[in-house]
Amino acid sequence: MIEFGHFSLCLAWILACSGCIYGAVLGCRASSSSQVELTRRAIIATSVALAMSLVGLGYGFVTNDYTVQYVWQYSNRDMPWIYKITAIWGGMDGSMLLWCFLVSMFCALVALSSTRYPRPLRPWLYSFLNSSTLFFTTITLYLTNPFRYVKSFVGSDGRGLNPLLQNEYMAIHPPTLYLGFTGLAIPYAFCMAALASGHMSNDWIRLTRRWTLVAWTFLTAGIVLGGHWAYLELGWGGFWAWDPVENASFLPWLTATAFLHSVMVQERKGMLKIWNIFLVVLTYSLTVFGTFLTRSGIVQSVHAFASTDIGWVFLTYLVAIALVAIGLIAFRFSELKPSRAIESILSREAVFLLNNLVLLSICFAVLWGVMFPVFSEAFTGQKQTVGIPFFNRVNIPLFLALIFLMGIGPSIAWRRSSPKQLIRSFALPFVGAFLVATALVWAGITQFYPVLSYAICFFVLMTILSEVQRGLRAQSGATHSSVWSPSNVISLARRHRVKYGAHIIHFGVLIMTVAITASMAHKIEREFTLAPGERFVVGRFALELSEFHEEEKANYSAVQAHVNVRSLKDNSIIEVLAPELRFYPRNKETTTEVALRMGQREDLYLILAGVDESGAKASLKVFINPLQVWLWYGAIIMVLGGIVVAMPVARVAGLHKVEMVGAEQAV
Amino acid sequence: MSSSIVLSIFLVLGVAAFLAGAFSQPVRAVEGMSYNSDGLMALYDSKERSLRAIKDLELDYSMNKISPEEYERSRQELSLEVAGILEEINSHERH
Repeated sequence: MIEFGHFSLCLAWILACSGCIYGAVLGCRASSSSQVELTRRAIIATSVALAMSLVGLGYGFVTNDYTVQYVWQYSNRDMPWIYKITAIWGGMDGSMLLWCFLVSMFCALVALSSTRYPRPLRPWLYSFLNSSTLFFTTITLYLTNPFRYVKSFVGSDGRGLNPLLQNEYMAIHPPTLYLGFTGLAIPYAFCMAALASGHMSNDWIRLTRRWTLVAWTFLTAGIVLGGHWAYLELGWGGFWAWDPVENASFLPWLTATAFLHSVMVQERKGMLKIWNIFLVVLTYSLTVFGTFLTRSGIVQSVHAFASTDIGWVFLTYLVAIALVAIGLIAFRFSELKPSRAIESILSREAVFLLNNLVLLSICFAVLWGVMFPVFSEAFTGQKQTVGIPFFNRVNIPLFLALIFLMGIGPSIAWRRSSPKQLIRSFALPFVGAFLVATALVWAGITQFYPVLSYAICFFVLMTILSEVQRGLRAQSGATHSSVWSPSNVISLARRHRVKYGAHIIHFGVLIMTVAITASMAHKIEREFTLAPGERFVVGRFALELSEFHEEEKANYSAVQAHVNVRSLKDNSIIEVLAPELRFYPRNKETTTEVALRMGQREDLYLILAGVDESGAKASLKVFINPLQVWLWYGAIIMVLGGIVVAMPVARVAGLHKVEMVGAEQAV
Repeated sequence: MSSSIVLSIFLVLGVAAFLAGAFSQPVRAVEGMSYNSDGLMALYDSKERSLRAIKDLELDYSMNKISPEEYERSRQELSLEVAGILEEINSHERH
């Protein structure tokens, strides 16, 4: 099966290579439908071949085939079967193969739905889709091939997966994140195909927006799942440490978000054409850059793969992407002139432009922080890193500005608005936000940013509610139904699915912002040592160590501390927490397993930092993270909003056409 | 090893048959989204944008985001714009 996996990878490379070249040739000259169809089918066949390749590698893991170096490195006989499957992407070689498959899968999905796409666009689209698959398949086949055999006999068992990766989240976080990354190859292919073919109509923008949303939703889910995993597994009480690899996933998310806003301006006004192309290319480049960061060893991170010398390949590809994009923009420059200009600073398009500038500023600040060690080493010979305080200091004001704009943008009219109208729209939310800020200060919260953050969140919440209410009123006026009747609500949601889907996303962002603010500003962290029977008071809890417990599992041994969590109010036991210290003998690694009491008000997060030599005392570390659970709720709401906006609904599309005809007849 | 060879042969045959199907199947006609020429395509895009702007304007007005005067002024401008585009499309199609 390993040979079959390797053969399938080779076949996929041949198909992607020929599809890429043939598509470009067909794009340059008149070609028959059969030839274009052949290129389309090559994309689908590439995806099937890569799926077979992945199956071949998976079979090696499941059957403990330790003659394969990659299987030997990342698996052993004691590992549960689920971790043997997840070990496929536990190392660089396998993760690249998964990446290839996911890129090709997205390309195949586009190819399957592409027969209705404009004829001039298709050969170029297929060529650029194949080019992404080809690049990653080339790397996998020639530089990080997971099908290599071990050079000499290494024993009858493997080394095993890193203990930190032996976690259920390993099954879902990397694939979801990769789906987000790889999905962003599709907007890039559409954009380049539109430029190359000269088919610069609204079609490519519409198609690109949908695919960007799909990728964006996966990327959002992947980033948050990564944060949740880090929170549960790494044992430092937080979920985001501005680590270079975390940042690498965040950078394309920022630019994709910027694109999703600015593309609306292009759809309506025919403006920002070059800007949108820039954002699409930048987003794709940042996904490649993220892969480069994670796999080149250029930056230090707990998430990074081992250092390799494949960095130059990624850099070459990045330069090629930039050169092709610049060349095509220059070639089509005359067709990219804006149809009109922004009519007023008091308009939704102006706010969207401002939102883009803030998002790009955050992107630049994060990129600067990530690359600073590399630049400092290049210029001074010493590697200097920037830590969490730098990222927080720069990004907190920018994020708050972004949240504020999130309240302004949807509530302001397109084209132009009058100051009088703005005062009418925003007076009440402003007063509400001011009252919230005053109440917080009066309650003893005097730090500037938390108060500002809560006030802005309240302001935005009021604008969202006001938008919904105004929409329902307008709808009920047209349909003569009562404002809050279910039929009126459903009808409004269906007619303006994208608009209200975006409100759902914004609502999720608000909840996350409140949770992040609370967990940053009001977090409690304590370290202490307890003998059995002793207690330690933290927040509204008393922690009492009751006993130690040792256990042996197939691939690790563990020491558990049983800690009674008592309420300070009545001294009753609310919960028994059991933080663990695990020792993995094969990897010679010790890890901590967090014990967590999740609550709507706060999380009680307990770590067993160590046990003294006599085995009589435990060193414990506790965090009280206020409103932490709401961060995950907010993320779920965001993802649901993303699904609502991205899902294709035929009836709504039909409705859109009817409305367009109606508008035309009215004119 | 032998199972790998058999599976590889099946894969190659399957892929070859699938690719060959491109020359045997009638390809469906391109629907809706293609236009006769680039000039006409741009006009249709402009028409769609202007109609969408009217739709947005109606929505903004119904949600009380713009004043009646601003609504009338913008509606007048956009209507003239659409009329001009429709006229251009008609003349383009006549030729």
